[in-house]
Amino acid sequence: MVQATSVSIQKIFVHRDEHLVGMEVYEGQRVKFYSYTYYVNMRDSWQPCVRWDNAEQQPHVDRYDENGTLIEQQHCREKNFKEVLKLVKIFRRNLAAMNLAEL
Amino acid sequence: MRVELIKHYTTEDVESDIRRLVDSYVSLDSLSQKVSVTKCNNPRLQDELMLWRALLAPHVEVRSSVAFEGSEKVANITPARIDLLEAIRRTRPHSVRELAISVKRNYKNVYDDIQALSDVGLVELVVKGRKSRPVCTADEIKFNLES
Repeated sequence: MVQATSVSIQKIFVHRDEHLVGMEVYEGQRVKFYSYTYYVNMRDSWQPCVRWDNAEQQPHVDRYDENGTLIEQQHCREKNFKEVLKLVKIFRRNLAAMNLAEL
Repeated sequence: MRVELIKHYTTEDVESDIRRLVDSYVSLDSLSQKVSVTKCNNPRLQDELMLWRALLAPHVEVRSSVAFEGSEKVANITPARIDLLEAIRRTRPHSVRELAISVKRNYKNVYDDIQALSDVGLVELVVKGRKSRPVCTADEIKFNLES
């Protein structure tokens, strides 16, 4: 039986210049793909700062520099939006300087 | 307080989003190639690819929401502006002027209200030629007092 596909796209402003974008693609009840990206507005441009996703079924966390270029990637356990939102609210811009392995 | 603006995609919204993706990336294959070349360097591309694939599924359901913390933006949502939101959804005007005529209000006041609603993210002005078509971006507004 073919499972119904649904998509959830959430954007939460944690501050005027910071937001978290979450995208989840479900097949039935199962999350097939997720991505949670923390964006920071720098020089009038929204740049990704830290991102958790499970592209190619590999849960990982990415860190970007101020130009939005990927600078570091670490494997991490699967995350959900609530967990990531909590991290983002607590650490905000400090996420850029934290040890990715701990996120 | 958290204010959440929620939109449940209609079939038209899904088709319109697919058209937007075609306009931006030509085809799913070309976007897929771009993603495989850039890998994780461009998170937006990856999300667009996953969205496009999902939108092609039969009977796909899409829920999109924008939320902001704090109550100051709530002040922008007045009864008159809620009436405008309802009018936009009901009459689907082609311009702000057409909307002002349909609600029998002064153009300047309606324009100012639309700008305020646009600042909150409840209305998007789609520019086509010299006209700006107001489009309602949410069909549900949720106030959460606990967050």
